Amino acid sequence: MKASSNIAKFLAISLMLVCVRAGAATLNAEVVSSKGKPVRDAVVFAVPADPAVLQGIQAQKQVDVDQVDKEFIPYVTAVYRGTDVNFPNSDKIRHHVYSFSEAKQFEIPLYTGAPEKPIHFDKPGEVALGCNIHDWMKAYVFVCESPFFTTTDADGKASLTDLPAGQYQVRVWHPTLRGKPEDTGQKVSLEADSAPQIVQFTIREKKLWKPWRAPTSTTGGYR
Amino acid sequence: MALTKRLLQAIGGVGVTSVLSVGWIGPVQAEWAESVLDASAEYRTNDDVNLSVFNDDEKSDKLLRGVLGFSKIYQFDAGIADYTRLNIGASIELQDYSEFDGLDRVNPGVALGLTHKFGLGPDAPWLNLHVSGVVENVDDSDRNKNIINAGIRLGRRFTPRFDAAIDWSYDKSNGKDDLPVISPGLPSSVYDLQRSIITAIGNYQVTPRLLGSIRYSYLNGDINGECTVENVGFLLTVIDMTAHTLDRTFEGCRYRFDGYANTLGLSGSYALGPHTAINFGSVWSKGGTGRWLYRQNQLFVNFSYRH
Ligand SMILES: [Cu+2]
Repeated sequence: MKASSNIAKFLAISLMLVCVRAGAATLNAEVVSSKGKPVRDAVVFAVPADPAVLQGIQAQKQVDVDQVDKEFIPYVTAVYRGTDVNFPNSDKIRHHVYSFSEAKQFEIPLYTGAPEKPIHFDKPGEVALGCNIHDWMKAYVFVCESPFFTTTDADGKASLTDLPAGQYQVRVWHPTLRGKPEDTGQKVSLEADSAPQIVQFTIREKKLWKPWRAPTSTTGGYR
Repeated sequence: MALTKRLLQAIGGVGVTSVLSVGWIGPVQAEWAESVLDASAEYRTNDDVNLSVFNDDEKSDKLLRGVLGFSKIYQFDAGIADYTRLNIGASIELQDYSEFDGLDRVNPGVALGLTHKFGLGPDAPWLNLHVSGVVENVDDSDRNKNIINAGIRLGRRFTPRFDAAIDWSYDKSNGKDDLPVISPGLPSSVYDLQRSIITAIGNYQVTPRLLGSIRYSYLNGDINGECTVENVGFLLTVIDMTAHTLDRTFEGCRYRFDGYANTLGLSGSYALGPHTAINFGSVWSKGGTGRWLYRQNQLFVNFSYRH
Protein backbone atom coordinates (compact mmCIF):
# COMPACT_ATOMS: atom_id res chain seq x y z
CA MET A 1 0.00 0.00 0.00
CA LYS A 2 2.79 2.39 1.09
CA ALA A 3 4.96 1.42 -1.88
CA SER A 4 2.20 2.05 -4.38
CA SER A 5 1.44 5.49 -2.93
CA ASN A 6 5.14 6.36 -3.16
CA ILE A 7 5.20 5.28 -6.82
CA ALA A 8 2.11 7.42 -7.46
CA LYS A 9 3.82 10.42 -5.81
CA PHE A 10 6.97 9.87 -7.87
CA LEU A 11 4.94 9.70 -11.09
CA ALA A 12 3.01 12.83 -10.20
CA ILE A 13 6.20 14.82 -9.45
CA SER A 14 7.91 13.53 -12.62
CA LEU A 15 4.88 14.51 -14.69
CA MET A 16 4.90 17.97 -13.12
CA LEU A 17 8.60 18.44 -13.86
CA VAL A 18 8.11 17.30 -17.47
CA CYS A 19 5.25 19.79 -17.79
CA VAL A 20 7.40 22.60 -16.36
CA ARG A 21 10.31 21.85 -18.68
CA ALA A 22 8.11 21.46 -21.71
CA GLY A 23 6.43 24.84 -21.31
CA ALA A 24 9.34 26.71 -19.72
CA ALA A 25 10.16 30.36 -20.20
CA THR A 26 13.20 32.52 -19.43
CA LEU A 27 13.34 35.92 -17.84
CA ASN A 28 16.46 38.10 -18.01
CA ALA A 29 16.78 40.83 -15.42
CA GLU A 30 19.03 43.83 -15.10
CA VAL A 31 19.32 45.92 -11.96
CA VAL A 32 20.90 49.36 -11.87
CA SER A 33 21.14 52.05 -9.20
CA SER A 34 19.52 55.47 -9.57
CA LYS A 35 22.94 56.64 -10.80
CA GLY A 36 22.85 54.00 -13.55
CA LYS A 37 25.51 51.75 -12.01
CA PRO A 38 25.01 47.96 -12.09
CA VAL A 39 23.84 46.53 -8.76
CA ARG A 40 25.52 43.32 -7.71
CA ASP A 41 23.93 40.81 -5.28
CA ALA A 42 20.38 41.99 -5.96
CA VAL A 43 17.79 39.26 -5.53
CA VAL A 44 15.34 39.10 -8.44
CA PHE A 45 12.30 36.94 -7.83
CA ALA A 46 9.12 36.17 -9.76
CA VAL A 47 5.88 35.73 -7.78
CA PRO A 48 3.29 33.81 -9.81
CA ALA A 49 -0.20 35.34 -10.04
CA ASP A 50 -1.64 31.86 -9.66
CA PRO A 51 -0.51 30.41 -6.31
CA ALA A 52 -1.31 26.92 -7.60
CA VAL A 53 1.96 27.11 -9.57
CA LEU A 54 3.82 26.86 -6.27
CA GLN A 55 2.12 23.65 -5.20
CA GLY A 56 4.48 20.74 -4.79
CA ILE A 57 7.63 22.85 -5.13
CA GLN A 58 9.96 22.06 -2.29
CA ALA A 59 12.59 24.35 -0.80
CA GLN A 60 16.22 23.45 -1.40
CA LYS A 61 17.45 20.91 1.11
CA GLN A 62 20.34 22.93 2.41
CA VAL A 63 22.20 26.13 1.66
CA ASP A 64 25.55 27.23 3.16
CA VAL A 65 26.67 30.67 4.30
CA ASP A 66 30.38 30.29 5.02
CA GLN A 67 32.79 32.38 7.10
CA VAL A 68 36.22 33.00 5.61
CA ASP A 69 38.87 35.48 6.84
CA LYS A 70 36.34 36.97 9.25
CA GLU A 71 33.76 37.73 6.56
CA PHE A 72 30.54 35.98 5.56
CA ILE A 73 30.62 34.39 2.11
CA PRO A 74 28.49 35.10 0.12
CA TYR A 75 27.31 38.59 1.02
CA VAL A 76 23.75 37.86 -0.13
CA THR A 77 22.08 34.46 -0.11
CA ALA A 78 18.56 34.08 -1.51
CA VAL A 79 16.46 31.11 -0.39
CA TYR A 80 12.87 29.94 -0.78
CA ARG A 81 10.91 29.99 2.46
CA GLY A 82 11.27 26.72 4.32
CA THR A 83 14.96 26.37 3.50
CA ASP A 84 17.51 25.24 6.08
CA VAL A 85 20.65 27.37 6.05
CA ASN A 86 23.91 26.06 7.45
CA PHE A 87 26.56 28.43 8.79
CA PRO A 88 29.81 26.47 8.49
CA ASN A 89 32.89 28.28 9.77
CA SER A 90 35.96 27.80 7.55
CA ASP A 91 38.10 30.01 9.79
CA LYS A 92 40.22 28.43 12.49
CA ILE A 93 38.80 30.87 15.01
CA ARG A 94 35.36 31.07 16.57
CA HIS A 95 32.47 33.14 15.31
CA HIS A 96 29.23 34.04 17.06
CA VAL A 97 26.50 34.39 14.45
CA TYR A 98 23.22 36.14 15.14
CA SER A 99 20.32 38.03 13.61
CA PHE A 100 17.83 40.48 15.12
CA SER A 101 15.73 40.69 11.94
CA GLU A 102 11.96 40.36 12.04
CA ALA A 103 11.98 37.54 9.49
CA LYS A 104 14.31 35.44 11.65
CA GLN A 105 15.88 35.96 15.03
CA PHE A 106 18.55 33.49 16.05
CA GLU A 107 21.92 33.13 17.69
CA ILE A 108 24.62 30.50 17.23
CA PRO A 109 27.02 31.11 20.11
CA LEU A 110 30.76 30.73 19.60
CA TYR A 111 31.65 27.81 17.41
CA THR A 112 34.21 26.44 15.03
CA GLY A 113 33.49 24.01 12.17
CA ALA A 114 29.84 23.28 11.48
CA PRO A 115 27.08 24.16 13.95
CA GLU A 116 25.02 21.22 15.25
CA LYS A 117 21.83 22.26 13.46
CA PRO A 118 21.05 24.43 10.46
CA ILE A 119 18.74 27.44 10.88
CA HIS A 120 15.28 27.11 9.35
CA PHE A 121 14.09 30.18 7.43
CA ASP A 122 10.31 30.08 7.01
CA LYS A 123 9.22 33.72 6.98
CA PRO A 124 9.75 35.83 3.84
CA GLY A 125 11.88 38.94 4.20
CA GLU A 126 15.43 40.12 4.79
CA VAL A 127 17.58 38.64 7.52
CA ALA A 128 20.65 40.69 8.42
CA LEU A 129 23.48 38.54 9.79
CA GLY A 130 26.16 39.62 12.20
CA CYS A 131 29.00 38.19 14.27
CA ASN A 132 29.26 39.29 17.88
CA ILE A 133 33.05 39.01 17.93
CA HIS A 134 33.79 40.73 14.64
CA ASP A 135 31.32 43.60 14.40
CA TRP A 136 32.28 44.38 10.80
CA MET A 137 31.03 40.98 9.60
CA LYS A 138 27.76 41.67 7.77
CA ALA A 139 25.75 39.60 5.31
CA TYR A 140 22.16 38.91 4.37
CA VAL A 141 19.80 36.01 3.79
CA PHE A 142 16.79 37.01 1.75
CA VAL A 143 13.86 34.64 2.18
CA CYS A 144 11.71 34.67 -0.96
CA GLU A 145 8.03 33.91 -1.06
CA SER A 146 8.57 32.32 -4.45
CA PRO A 147 10.91 29.50 -5.50
CA PHE A 148 11.73 31.43 -8.69
CA PHE A 149 14.64 33.63 -7.69
CA THR A 150 18.19 34.48 -8.68
CA THR A 151 20.89 37.01 -7.74
CA THR A 152 22.61 39.49 -10.02
CA ASP A 153 26.27 39.30 -11.00
CA ALA A 154 28.81 42.14 -11.03
CA ASP A 155 27.14 43.53 -14.17
CA GLY A 156 23.81 43.68 -12.35
CA LYS A 157 22.46 40.90 -14.56
CA ALA A 158 20.65 37.67 -13.74
CA SER A 159 18.56 35.04 -15.48
CA LEU A 160 15.53 33.07 -14.31
CA THR A 161 15.17 29.94 -16.39
CA ASP A 162 12.63 27.12 -16.48
CA LEU A 163 9.77 29.33 -15.33
CA PRO A 164 6.32 27.81 -15.93
CA ALA A 165 4.31 29.89 -18.41
CA GLY A 166 1.89 32.34 -16.79
CA GLN A 167 1.50 35.73 -15.15
CA TYR A 168 4.10 36.93 -12.64
CA GLN A 169 5.02 39.90 -10.61
CA VAL A 170 8.80 40.28 -10.76
CA ARG A 171 10.39 42.03 -7.79
CA VAL A 172 13.85 42.95 -6.63
CA TRP A 173 15.52 43.22 -3.24
CA HIS A 174 18.97 44.42 -2.24
CA PRO A 175 20.47 45.33 1.18
CA THR A 176 20.61 48.96 0.08
CA LEU A 177 17.07 49.05 -1.34
CA ARG A 178 15.05 52.03 -0.12
CA GLY A 179 11.49 50.79 0.39
CA LYS A 180 9.93 47.36 0.07
CA PRO A 181 10.45 44.76 -2.68
CA GLU A 182 6.66 44.87 -3.23
CA ASP A 183 7.06 48.46 -4.44
CA THR A 184 9.46 47.32 -7.18
CA GLY A 185 7.00 44.81 -8.73
CA GLN A 186 6.66 44.60 -12.52
CA LYS A 187 3.97 42.47 -14.17
CA VAL A 188 5.11 40.08 -16.85
CA SER A 189 3.28 37.47 -18.84
CA LEU A 190 5.43 34.53 -19.90
CA GLU A 191 4.57 32.26 -22.77
CA ALA A 192 5.97 28.79 -23.12
CA ASP A 193 9.06 28.40 -25.31
CA SER A 194 9.07 32.04 -26.33
CA ALA A 195 12.14 34.29 -26.54
CA PRO A 196 13.48 35.41 -23.10
CA GLN A 197 11.72 38.44 -21.65
CA ILE A 198 13.76 41.29 -20.22
CA VAL A 199 12.93 43.23 -17.06
CA GLN A 200 14.90 46.22 -15.91
CA PHE A 201 14.96 47.66 -12.43
CA THR A 202 16.30 50.99 -11.28
CA ILE A 203 16.46 50.96 -7.52
CA ARG A 204 16.67 53.85 -5.12
CA GLU A 205 19.54 53.07 -2.77
CA LYS A 206 20.14 53.96 0.83
CA LYS A 207 23.69 54.23 2.17
CA LEU A 208 24.65 51.16 4.17
CA TRP A 209 27.55 51.34 6.63
CA LYS A 210 29.35 48.54 8.31
CA PRO A 211 31.62 48.87 11.34
CA TRP A 212 35.24 49.70 10.55
CA ARG A 213 37.68 46.83 10.16
CA ALA A 214 41.07 48.12 8.90
CA PRO A 215 43.82 48.96 11.43
CA THR A 216 43.70 52.52 12.82
CA SER A 217 46.06 54.72 14.81
CA THR A 218 43.60 54.99 17.70
CA THR A 219 43.18 51.40 18.77
CA GLY A 220 39.62 51.17 19.87
CA GLY A 221 36.45 49.30 19.32
CA TYR A 222 35.62 45.79 20.29
CA ARG A 223 37.84 43.22 18.60
CA MET B 1 48.53 31.28 34.70
CA ALA B 2 48.51 31.88 38.46
CA LEU B 3 50.00 35.30 37.80
CA THR B 4 47.28 36.14 35.30
CA LYS B 5 44.63 35.12 37.78
CA ARG B 6 46.23 37.20 40.51
CA LEU B 7 46.35 40.12 38.10
CA LEU B 8 42.65 39.70 37.29
CA GLN B 9 41.84 39.49 40.99
CA ALA B 10 43.93 42.56 41.66
CA ILE B 11 42.04 44.51 39.05
CA GLY B 12 38.89 43.00 40.62
CA GLY B 13 35.65 44.66 41.53
CA VAL B 14 34.14 44.00 38.13
CA GLY B 15 31.56 41.28 37.74
CA VAL B 16 33.26 39.67 34.78
CA THR B 17 36.35 38.86 36.80
CA SER B 18 34.58 36.34 39.00
CA VAL B 19 32.97 34.71 35.98
CA LEU B 20 36.37 34.44 34.37
CA SER B 21 37.97 32.99 37.44
CA VAL B 22 35.38 30.20 37.43
CA GLY B 23 36.11 29.49 33.78
CA TRP B 24 39.81 29.62 34.51
CA ILE B 25 39.91 27.18 37.41
CA GLY B 26 37.17 24.86 36.22
CA PRO B 27 37.25 22.47 33.28
CA VAL B 28 38.84 23.94 30.19
CA GLN B 29 35.97 25.61 28.41
CA ALA B 30 37.99 27.97 26.31
CA GLU B 31 40.55 27.74 23.61
CA TRP B 32 43.03 29.97 21.87
CA ALA B 33 40.72 31.55 19.44
CA GLU B 34 42.64 34.11 17.50
CA SER B 35 46.16 35.20 16.70
CA VAL B 36 46.65 38.78 15.63
CA LEU B 37 49.76 40.20 14.00
CA ASP B 38 50.19 43.97 13.99
CA ALA B 39 52.86 45.82 12.09
CA SER B 40 53.29 49.46 11.28
CA ALA B 41 55.92 51.78 9.83
CA GLU B 42 55.64 55.47 10.59
CA TYR B 43 57.20 58.82 9.84
CA ARG B 44 56.68 61.47 12.49
CA THR B 45 57.71 65.06 13.06
CA ASN B 46 57.89 66.60 16.53
CA ASP B 47 58.49 70.31 17.09
CA ASP B 48 59.28 70.12 20.82
CA VAL B 49 60.98 66.81 21.27
CA ASN B 50 62.58 67.91 24.57
CA LEU B 51 59.25 69.16 25.99
CA SER B 52 60.78 72.50 26.91
CA VAL B 53 58.61 75.12 28.56
CA PHE B 54 60.92 77.81 27.14
CA ASN B 55 60.26 78.68 23.50
CA ASP B 56 63.94 79.40 22.85
CA ASP B 57 64.98 75.99 24.14
CA GLU B 58 62.56 73.93 22.03
CA LYS B 59 64.23 71.33 19.78
CA SER B 60 62.51 69.72 16.85
CA ASP B 61 63.21 66.40 15.19
CA LYS B 62 61.85 63.79 12.80
CA LEU B 63 61.71 60.10 13.44
CA LEU B 64 60.99 56.78 11.83
CA ARG B 65 59.01 54.44 14.00
CA GLY B 66 58.29 50.76 13.51
CA VAL B 67 56.06 48.55 15.64
CA LEU B 68 55.66 44.81 15.44
CA GLY B 69 53.18 43.10 17.72
CA PHE B 70 51.73 39.68 18.17
CA SER B 71 48.78 38.80 20.33
CA LYS B 72 46.67 35.83 21.20
CA ILE B 73 43.03 36.25 22.07
CA TYR B 74 41.63 33.72 24.48
CA GLN B 75 37.89 33.38 24.03
CA PHE B 76 35.79 32.13 26.90
CA ASP B 77 32.70 30.17 26.04
CA ALA B 78 30.66 29.43 29.13
CA GLY B 79 27.45 31.38 29.80
CA ILE B 80 27.97 35.13 29.73
CA ALA B 81 31.69 34.47 29.24
CA ASP B 82 30.73 34.00 25.57
CA TYR B 83 31.16 37.75 25.55
CA THR B 84 34.54 37.86 27.28
CA ARG B 85 37.98 37.77 25.72
CA LEU B 86 41.46 37.81 27.16
CA ASN B 87 44.14 39.35 24.98
CA ILE B 88 47.81 38.58 25.66
CA GLY B 89 50.29 40.42 23.50
CA ALA B 90 53.95 41.12 23.02
CA SER B 91 55.39 43.89 20.89
CA ILE B 92 58.56 45.63 19.94
CA GLU B 93 58.83 49.28 18.98
CA LEU B 94 61.78 50.95 17.27
CA GLN B 95 62.33 54.70 17.08
CA ASP B 96 65.04 56.23 14.96
CA TYR B 97 65.48 60.02 15.28
CA SER B 98 67.16 61.87 12.46
CA GLU B 99 68.98 64.49 14.56
CA PHE B 100 69.04 63.54 18.25
CA ASP B 101 70.40 60.00 18.03
CA GLY B 102 70.43 59.84 21.82
CA LEU B 103 66.64 59.44 21.63
CA ASP B 104 66.79 56.33 19.42
CA ARG B 105 65.27 53.41 21.22
CA VAL B 106 64.08 49.82 21.16
CA ASN B 107 61.08 49.18 23.37
CA PRO B 108 59.95 45.61 23.97
CA GLY B 109 56.60 45.37 25.70
CA VAL B 110 53.90 43.03 26.90
CA ALA B 111 50.20 43.69 27.29
CA LEU B 112 47.25 41.96 28.84
CA GLY B 113 43.65 42.96 28.15
CA LEU B 114 40.35 41.60 29.32
CA THR B 115 37.32 42.71 27.34
CA HIS B 116 33.70 42.01 28.11
CA LYS B 117 30.89 42.93 25.77
CA PHE B 118 27.56 43.55 27.47
CA GLY B 119 25.27 41.68 25.13
CA LEU B 120 24.75 40.83 21.52
CA GLY B 121 25.11 43.09 18.52
CA PRO B 122 27.46 45.78 17.25
CA ASP B 123 26.09 48.48 19.57
CA ALA B 124 26.44 46.56 22.83
CA PRO B 125 28.80 48.46 25.16
CA TRP B 126 32.08 46.86 26.17
CA LEU B 127 34.49 47.18 29.05
CA ASN B 128 38.21 46.57 28.78
CA LEU B 129 40.71 46.20 31.60
CA HIS B 130 44.27 46.61 30.40
CA VAL B 131 47.73 46.27 31.84
CA SER B 132 50.97 46.75 29.93
CA GLY B 133 54.67 46.90 30.58
CA VAL B 134 57.37 48.43 28.38
CA VAL B 135 61.14 48.47 28.79
CA GLU B 136 62.62 51.52 27.04
CA ASN B 137 66.19 50.89 25.90
CA VAL B 138 67.40 54.29 24.78
CA ASP B 139 70.68 55.18 23.04
CA ASP B 140 71.30 57.79 25.73
CA SER B 141 71.10 55.20 28.49
CA ASP B 142 70.32 57.88 31.11
CA ARG B 143 66.85 57.81 29.62
CA ASN B 144 66.30 54.07 30.09
CA LYS B 145 63.15 53.32 31.97
CA ASN B 146 60.47 50.75 32.64
CA ILE B 147 56.85 51.78 32.24
CA ILE B 148 53.83 50.08 33.69
CA ASN B 149 50.35 51.16 32.68
CA ALA B 150 47.02 49.85 33.93
CA GLY B 151 43.61 51.13 33.08
CA ILE B 152 40.01 50.64 32.26
CA ARG B 153 38.23 51.51 29.06
CA LEU B 154 34.53 51.68 28.34
CA GLY B 155 33.35 51.83 24.76
CA ARG B 156 30.27 51.65 22.63
CA ARG B 157 29.30 51.75 19.01
CA PHE B 158 26.43 54.18 18.60
CA THR B 159 25.83 53.71 14.87
CA PRO B 160 27.62 51.62 12.23
CA ARG B 161 29.54 54.83 11.42
CA PHE B 162 30.33 56.11 14.89
CA ASP B 163 31.90 54.59 17.98
CA ALA B 164 33.41 56.13 21.08
CA ALA B 165 35.33 55.12 24.16
CA ILE B 166 36.57 56.64 27.40
CA ASP B 167 39.67 55.41 29.15
CA TRP B 168 41.26 55.99 32.50
CA SER B 169 44.77 54.73 33.07
CA TYR B 170 47.55 55.00 35.60
CA ASP B 171 51.09 55.16 34.33
CA LYS B 172 54.26 54.62 36.33
CA SER B 173 57.78 54.98 34.93
CA ASN B 174 60.86 53.88 36.74
CA GLY B 175 64.10 55.42 35.50
CA LYS B 176 67.75 55.03 36.51
CA ASP B 177 68.77 55.68 40.11
CA ASP B 178 72.32 56.93 39.46
CA LEU B 179 71.77 60.06 37.36
CA PRO B 180 74.01 62.98 38.38
CA VAL B 181 72.69 65.12 41.23
CA ILE B 182 73.24 68.80 40.45
CA SER B 183 71.50 70.48 43.37
CA PRO B 184 72.07 68.91 46.76
CA GLY B 185 68.74 68.03 48.29
CA LEU B 186 66.92 67.76 44.96
CA PRO B 187 66.71 64.23 43.56
CA SER B 188 67.97 63.39 40.06
CA SER B 189 65.22 60.86 39.29
CA VAL B 190 63.63 62.88 36.47
CA TYR B 191 62.44 59.72 34.68
CA ASP B 192 60.54 58.36 37.69
CA LEU B 193 57.07 59.48 36.70
CA GLN B 194 53.59 58.79 37.99
CA ARG B 195 50.55 60.08 36.21
CA SER B 196 46.90 59.37 35.64
CA ILE B 197 45.40 59.92 32.21
CA ILE B 198 41.79 60.27 31.13
CA THR B 199 41.19 59.83 27.41
CA ALA B 200 38.12 60.19 25.20
CA ILE B 201 38.16 58.71 21.70
CA GLY B 202 35.65 59.06 18.89
CA ASN B 203 35.76 57.43 15.46
CA TYR B 204 33.51 58.43 12.59
CA GLN B 205 33.40 56.96 9.08
CA VAL B 206 33.55 59.82 6.64
CA THR B 207 33.33 57.44 3.68
CA PRO B 208 33.37 53.61 3.64
CA ARG B 209 37.14 53.95 3.05
CA LEU B 210 37.97 56.85 5.37
CA LEU B 211 37.71 56.90 9.13
CA GLY B 212 38.16 60.15 11.02
CA SER B 213 39.23 59.96 14.67
CA ILE B 214 39.44 62.44 17.50
CA ARG B 215 41.27 61.76 20.71
CA TYR B 216 41.53 64.02 23.71
CA SER B 217 43.43 63.24 26.87
CA TYR B 218 44.07 64.94 30.16
CA LEU B 219 47.15 63.92 32.07
CA ASN B 220 47.70 64.70 35.71
CA GLY B 221 50.99 64.01 37.47
CA ASP B 222 54.69 64.26 36.79
CA ILE B 223 55.79 66.33 33.83
CA ASN B 224 59.38 66.41 32.65
CA GLY B 225 61.22 68.54 30.17
CA GLU B 226 64.56 70.05 29.24
CA CYS B 227 66.09 73.51 29.00
CA THR B 228 69.44 75.27 29.14
CA VAL B 229 71.38 75.41 32.39
CA GLU B 230 70.68 79.18 32.66
CA ASN B 231 66.92 78.70 32.27
CA VAL B 232 66.72 75.84 34.76
CA GLY B 233 68.18 78.17 37.41
CA PHE B 234 65.32 80.56 36.76
CA LEU B 235 62.73 77.76 36.59
CA LEU B 236 63.82 76.59 40.04
CA THR B 237 62.68 79.92 41.45
CA VAL B 238 59.20 79.89 39.87
CA ILE B 239 58.00 76.27 40.08
CA ASP B 240 58.21 73.47 42.62
CA MET B 241 60.72 71.27 40.86
CA THR B 242 60.73 67.72 42.21
CA ALA B 243 63.87 66.48 40.44
CA HIS B 244 66.53 67.59 38.04
CA THR B 245 69.68 66.30 36.38
CA LEU B 246 71.93 66.86 33.37
CA ASP B 247 70.63 65.92 29.91
CA ARG B 248 73.39 64.52 27.69
CA THR B 249 71.30 64.39 24.51
CA PHE B 250 70.25 68.03 24.57
CA GLU B 251 73.27 69.27 26.55
CA GLY B 252 71.10 71.06 29.07
CA CYS B 253 69.16 70.22 32.20
CA ARG B 254 66.30 67.81 32.55
CA TYR B 255 63.70 68.66 35.18
CA ARG B 256 60.54 67.19 36.67
CA PHE B 257 57.61 68.88 38.36
CA ASP B 258 54.01 68.20 39.19
CA GLY B 259 51.61 69.41 36.52
CA TYR B 260 49.10 68.52 33.88
CA ALA B 261 48.88 68.17 30.11
CA ASN B 262 46.09 68.44 27.58
CA THR B 263 46.52 66.52 24.35
CA LEU B 264 44.31 66.61 21.30
CA GLY B 265 44.79 64.30 18.35
CA LEU B 266 43.01 64.37 15.02
CA SER B 267 43.68 61.53 12.65
CA GLY B 268 42.45 59.82 9.55
CA SER B 269 42.65 56.22 8.46
CA TYR B 270 42.41 55.32 4.82
CA ALA B 271 41.62 51.62 4.38
CA LEU B 272 43.55 49.95 1.57
CA GLY B 273 41.88 46.63 2.35
CA PRO B 274 40.56 44.68 5.32
CA HIS B 275 44.07 44.25 6.74
CA THR B 276 45.92 47.39 5.67
CA ALA B 277 45.53 51.13 6.08
CA ILE B 278 47.38 54.40 5.75
CA ASN B 279 46.95 56.43 8.92
CA PHE B 280 47.83 60.09 9.26
CA GLY B 281 47.23 62.80 11.77
CA SER B 282 48.31 65.52 14.07
CA VAL B 283 48.77 65.59 17.84
CA TRP B 284 48.85 68.85 19.82
CA SER B 285 49.95 68.75 23.41
CA LYS B 286 50.20 71.51 25.99
CA GLY B 287 51.43 70.70 29.45
CA GLY B 288 53.12 72.10 32.52
CA THR B 289 52.04 74.13 35.47
CA GLY B 290 50.74 77.70 35.83
CA ARG B 291 52.09 79.75 32.94
CA TRP B 292 55.04 77.37 32.47
CA LEU B 293 53.76 75.22 29.67
CA TYR B 294 55.34 73.25 26.87
CA ARG B 295 53.62 73.15 23.48
CA GLN B 296 54.36 70.13 21.35
CA ASN B 297 52.98 69.51 17.87
CA GLN B 298 53.43 66.25 16.03
CA LEU B 299 52.47 65.12 12.54
CA PHE B 300 52.53 61.50 11.50
CA VAL B 301 51.79 59.19 8.63
CA ASN B 302 52.00 55.43 8.87
CA PHE B 303 51.27 52.23 7.04
CA SER B 304 49.55 49.65 9.23
CA TYR B 305 48.94 45.98 8.75
CA ARG B 306 46.80 43.77 10.94
CA HIS B 307 46.01 40.13 10.36
CU1 LIG C 1 33.26 36.49 13.75
